[in-house]
Amino acid sequence: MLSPDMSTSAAGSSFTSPIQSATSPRLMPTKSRPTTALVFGQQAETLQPHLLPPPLQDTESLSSDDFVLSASSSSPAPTGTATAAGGDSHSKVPSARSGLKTISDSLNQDDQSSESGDDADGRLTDTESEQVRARTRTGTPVIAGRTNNHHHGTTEHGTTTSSALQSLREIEEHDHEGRQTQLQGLESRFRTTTLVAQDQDLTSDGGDSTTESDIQPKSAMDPAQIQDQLKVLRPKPSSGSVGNNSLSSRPKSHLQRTASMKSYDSDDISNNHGGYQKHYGDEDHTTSAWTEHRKHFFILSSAGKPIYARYGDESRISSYMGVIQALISFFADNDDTLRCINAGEHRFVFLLKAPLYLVCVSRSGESESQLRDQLGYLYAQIISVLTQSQMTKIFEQRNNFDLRGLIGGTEIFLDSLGKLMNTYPGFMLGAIQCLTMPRELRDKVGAVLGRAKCKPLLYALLVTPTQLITLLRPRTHSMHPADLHLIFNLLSGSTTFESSESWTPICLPKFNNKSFLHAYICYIAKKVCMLLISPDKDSFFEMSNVKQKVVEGLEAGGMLASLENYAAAGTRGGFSVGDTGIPGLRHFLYKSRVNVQFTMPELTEPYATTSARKRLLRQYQNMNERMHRKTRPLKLLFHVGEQETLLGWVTSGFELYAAFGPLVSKSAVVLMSNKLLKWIRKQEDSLLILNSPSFEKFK
Amino acid sequence: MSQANDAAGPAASNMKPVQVKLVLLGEAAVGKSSLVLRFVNDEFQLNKEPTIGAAFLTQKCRLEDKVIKFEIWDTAGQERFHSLAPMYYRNAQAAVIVYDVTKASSLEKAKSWVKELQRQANPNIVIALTGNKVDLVANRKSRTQNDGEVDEDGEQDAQEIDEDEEDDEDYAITRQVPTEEASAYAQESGLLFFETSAKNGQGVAEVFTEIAKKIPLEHILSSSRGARAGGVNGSNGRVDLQNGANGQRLGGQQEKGGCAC
Repeated sequence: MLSPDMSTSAAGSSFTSPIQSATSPRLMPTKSRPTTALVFGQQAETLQPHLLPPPLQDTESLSSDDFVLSASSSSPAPTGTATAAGGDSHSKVPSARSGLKTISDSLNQDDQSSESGDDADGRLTDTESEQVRARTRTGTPVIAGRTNNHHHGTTEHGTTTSSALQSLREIEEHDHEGRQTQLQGLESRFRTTTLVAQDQDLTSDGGDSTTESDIQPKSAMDPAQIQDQLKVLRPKPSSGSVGNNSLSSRPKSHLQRTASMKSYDSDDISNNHGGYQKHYGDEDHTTSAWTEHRKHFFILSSAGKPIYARYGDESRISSYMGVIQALISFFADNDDTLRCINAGEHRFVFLLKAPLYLVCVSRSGESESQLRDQLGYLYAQIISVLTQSQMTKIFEQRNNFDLRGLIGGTEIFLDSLGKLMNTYPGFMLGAIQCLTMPRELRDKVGAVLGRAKCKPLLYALLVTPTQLITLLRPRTHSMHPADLHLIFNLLSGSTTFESSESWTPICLPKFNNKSFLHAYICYIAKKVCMLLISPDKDSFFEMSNVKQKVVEGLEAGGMLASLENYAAAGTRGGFSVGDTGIPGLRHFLYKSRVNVQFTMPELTEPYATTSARKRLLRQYQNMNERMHRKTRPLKLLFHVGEQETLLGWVTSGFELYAAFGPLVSKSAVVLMSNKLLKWIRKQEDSLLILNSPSFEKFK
Repeated sequence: MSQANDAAGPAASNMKPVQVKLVLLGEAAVGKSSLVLRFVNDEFQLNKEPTIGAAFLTQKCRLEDKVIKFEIWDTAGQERFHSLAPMYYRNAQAAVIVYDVTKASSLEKAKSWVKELQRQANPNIVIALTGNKVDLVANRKSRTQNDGEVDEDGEQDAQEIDEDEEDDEDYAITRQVPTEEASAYAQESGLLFFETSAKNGQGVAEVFTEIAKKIPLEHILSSSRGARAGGVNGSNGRVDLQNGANGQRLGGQQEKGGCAC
């Protein structure tokens, strides 16, 4: 029953370029993509079990005692060897991992099937083995921390972490025991409250850091040097007075403070960013509440000046910025680029976009490339405020320029972007969501927009804050999803546009990162926002006039009221999973790769709570990451988790991620997924915008 | 003053409203948007998010026998938007320059705006210097009186002020710009001077009323065909601004609350 779509996917080898590269190619530094492959390749070659990006279930067992530096090498030599040896090395990987993972044997199959046969049968054995593996896990009576989203479904088998364990802190030992004994599932739940900022315990990584030499055998750097460097950096935290200087070390008392601090919700006034009081802006970086945050973002200039921190006052953590800069410079000295550090639970991801450095410190379980994509979005947000050329110019003139003055007032959008990326799957999918509404209405609304066109109008959009109603464009231009995400973030991030007509310069980096466009923003009904983009900064009143015509046109056709209704429904989710008529289906994400759009039903029970939603998104992210992994892309992935069964299915035309109840059989899932696809095809008209109209059509 | 809007309907048909272009300038976070929203929608929002670019609002008022339509450009105070300001004040007949009475540096910024306007704007521009946020300092001077006002307004935010200020006497915000100092400066520079609170509405209407009184309305009316170079951009803007439907619509936004459509 899978055959129709499998045939398209069997064409196959094109899968080595995952969707991200197709949809947001320019967000990534173009060089870093190949090096990703390179590093993974090398990792596989050196048979270091911890070097493979850990699969979904294994994140924890691997991470707590690993310290991995992966830096891209500037020498071309390893590239060749790594890619050449790719096939062999993969099959060796499992043996190296065998003591550690139950995953090993299935990995083996996995690799072989992905390497050799792309036929449907091969896939099925693959998924079968995964299923078996997952089943055995669900069989074990371990309950992973419920509150800890990304730990969901982690049921480790005896982890051999003895050597590292000794140097781990007491609490972590506690934690590890909990995992090893396996029977005390409550332990691991307990962990979520006690495990505060699991340390990047650099001292415990002596062994692993020497393996670092294996990772980068041909690069210019000496592993011993790295070790030295790390030692140089290490004393900082432990040196009493500035004990909070490092991200790693915390006094024990802090470690034992409970998660109740998480509910920190500050309305305090600390740094006054143009009247906007940043949430957590007042948070003291020396408290556990600060270190507990799952995902930190830091932005600094290449001169080391703080620009933005997601939590706390960026100027007060300038010492961290110094550490970041030192790390980056160390590798830069060797003509190398620091990309990622895996330390314990935490992953440090670096995006170097001179004159800016962007760093993410995360224990959310997201993959390196996903986190780097997110950093790319933050970067794009800054560009949208300043333009690339302006920023470059400023830093050319004065490389110690304090950029905060210039992006002042837009921290709110960096904050909201950080939040949005945790809830909105569009960033992961590189696609946008459309408001679910009948096609006839959408076409009619588009026609009204099209007729109102005036000369300086470049794009005309109607959106609910995060869903597209319709977009009119010149025939020769389309709008990149990444630019649309910035617009969605602009609208959902601030209420300032709701009270008036606004006129603001905005740079859409994918359209042109060198110059500003000007956006007319006005809510024409509740939750219905009109955005008119013009290259002419003096065209406000023309835009206002266009809006006037559109509003009149919509009102005349009685469309405004129905738009408002659909928008209200859309912000709840548009349609419910029950509409599909598929029992057992809980939720799904469907992305049309052709249209770069996705759709999903309302998040209802059991995903009604924020934490459950986040957990589901993390599950999707993990699926997405595994399916698009450079070294071993998958077309079909069947995953039985503790709380749900997930199916991931990628073809050249679409990507589907569907969540079912935990006890659904594989054949049932396949059956239901086919049904779901049929339903989507039928509804495609209203779920997606299949024919994005251009202005020319209405001339 | 705000009832004038209702009268604008039938009355305006036989009385052409005088369009007054007004721009708000001043440092970030002094309360420009709050001031305008108090004037236009009679609402107040604590922790208002920063304006991005500029916001355009209109409000019709009746002054004696005339109807005045304020076209207000509420500009963003952030430094990076400074270069866009000329676009908004270029043809303005009035400017409200806002500072924060609890922040001395904001008066300095206000003074530099005054200089810039006197140098570059329309030479007949009416400038009003406005010290905002007096509720914060009134609270300290005569608490009982101010509490009364807050209650009258039924501010839902009253509790938050309590938390912010009343917990701790020492934390109370002090006035950094004495009325006399700012007033003296305004006088010598030939500006109107007001102290306002967008939060409780104190003094807000007066700002606009006094501006309306001082502007040579007759002059604008008689020369509106030519001299009132309209809008942000000369000719195009003028046509659109005088589009009757457009005007009515924008003027009517008050009834719909926060939505400017």
